[in-house]
Order: sequence, then structure tokens, then C-alpha cells
Amino acid sequence: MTGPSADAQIEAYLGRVRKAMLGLSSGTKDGIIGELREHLTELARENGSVEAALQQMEQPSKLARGFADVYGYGPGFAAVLAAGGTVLSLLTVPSLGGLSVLVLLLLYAYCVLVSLYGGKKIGGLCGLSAGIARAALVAAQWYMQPGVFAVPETGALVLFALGSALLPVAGVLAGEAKQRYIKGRPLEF
Amino acid sequence: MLNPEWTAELKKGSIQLCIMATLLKGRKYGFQMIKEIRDLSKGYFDLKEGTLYPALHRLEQRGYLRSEWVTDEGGTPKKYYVLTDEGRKALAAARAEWDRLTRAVRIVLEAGR
Repeated sequence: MTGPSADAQIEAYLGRVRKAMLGLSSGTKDGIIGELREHLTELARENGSVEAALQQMEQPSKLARGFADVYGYGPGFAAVLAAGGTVLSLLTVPSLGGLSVLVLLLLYAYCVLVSLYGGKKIGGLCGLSAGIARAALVAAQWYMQPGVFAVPETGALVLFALGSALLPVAGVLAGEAKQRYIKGRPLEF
Repeated sequence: MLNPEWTAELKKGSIQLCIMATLLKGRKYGFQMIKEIRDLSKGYFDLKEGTLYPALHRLEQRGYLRSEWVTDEGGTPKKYYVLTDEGRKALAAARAEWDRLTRAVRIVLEAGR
């Protein structure tokens, strides 16, 4: 039914859909594209031509938005979001005083939001990278400039370690809570 | 005239129910479901792929459906969806709720005549 040019038209459309699904993992994209290929082929058969079928299909960006709502973000976006958390964590070193506390609270909010929108794995990764980065920066400060940055008392050290360790926990828990909430909801109509 | 947005909202609320109901008699793939829902509703529900497929994937994530790729006689791979036991229970509960809802709305509408 479909000649090479018809196949090329289908693949061109599917290529645009794939491109629009920017944040999804490639495995998820492959599955979706396969399913849409099957759909388009059937639609073309029903309509008598690929052109007619393509006219009925939705805009690739609209299709991609629907799937992004279901799957959240893939590894590429996860890396960018984790990098965002890491950069933010550099402003949470205690030597910055009051600002560090404010940014730390922002960082927690960031990890929770990432977890809610991107899932618990990405939220956890974001918190973990941020926690490690802030601990590494403080350790580097003490090691390289021991005269400027004095080693704090045990209580402050424990508080700092706790503040870092709880970042990945917050990142995982928010997404987990959302997942449980969604699973526990009855079927809506 | 009826606001099309309102009609869309009303339809949106019943799509998942229709999708799952089409799977009660056995496995189906997306295109088949669109046609069946369109035919049974006499064209009232004409689902677009951007509505159906994300809804199917979401229902699968929630454990109400599972999917399997099957290659048909013509050699074309198709992704079939099947209702899980959990899905059947959820559908039964949603159906009962739907009956209560439509009955209640009808009573209120009739009283207003």
C-alpha cells in the first residue's frame, strides 16, 4: 500500500515526534514511535493515502506533551537538573553565612520539585549530587585554606552532614509520595 | 449554543472508562480501540492519538493494563493492551460510580424541567 515516498513521509512525521520528545529516554521514545508507526500505517490504509492520514494526525509537539506528562524526564534532562542542583549547592557552604541557609532551603525545594515532576530517581540523583558537591567544597576549603576556614565544632559538623545527607532523601521521598498517591487513587472519569 | 470546552471536559472525564471497557472482551491495539469507541458511540467519541496513547501508557503505569508486542500474519508488529485483574476491579468500581453519578445528574436535571 505504501511506496517508498509514503514510508518516507511517515518516517519524517515520526522523526518530528521523536525530536519533540526531547526529555524522554530513548527506550521510551522507541516504544512510542513504534506504536505511532503502526497507528499511522493503519490510518493510511483506512484513508487511502499517507497524505490524508498525516492530515488527521496531531502536531508532534502536542503528542510529545501528552507523553511527557506520563513519563517525566529522561537521562539527558536528569543530568541537566542534577547539574542545576549541584550549582545551587555551591552557594550553601556555611562560610557564606545567612545566605547559605536561604539557598539550602531553596535547594531542598528544588530537589522536591524535581522529584515531583521528574520522578524519585531524578530527585534522588539531584539531591545526591548536590549533597556530595557541598560536602566536597567545604572539605576543599578546609584543606586548602585551613587558616581561613576553621574546622567547626562537632555539633555544627553534624548539622552540616545531616543537611547534606537529607538532600537525596528529600529528593526520593517527594517522588515516592507522589507515586503512591497516584497509585492509590481510584480510576477517575 | 453549548460551549465546546465544556463538552470536551465532559468527554475527557469518561475516556479512561471507555478505553478500559473496550478491553473487557479481550486484547486490542490502539487503532482498534479508537475505531471501536467511535463506532459504538456513533461518532460521539472520536479519539485522537494524542489522547488515546498517553492515556493507555498512564493506565499501564498504574497497573490497570499491560501491553505486549505481537506480530500479525502480515508481519506487522502491533502493541496489544490487556486488562489486568487490578484493572478489572478498578473498572468495576468506576462503572458503579459512573452509574450513581449519571442517575443523580438525571434526577437533578429532571427536577429542573
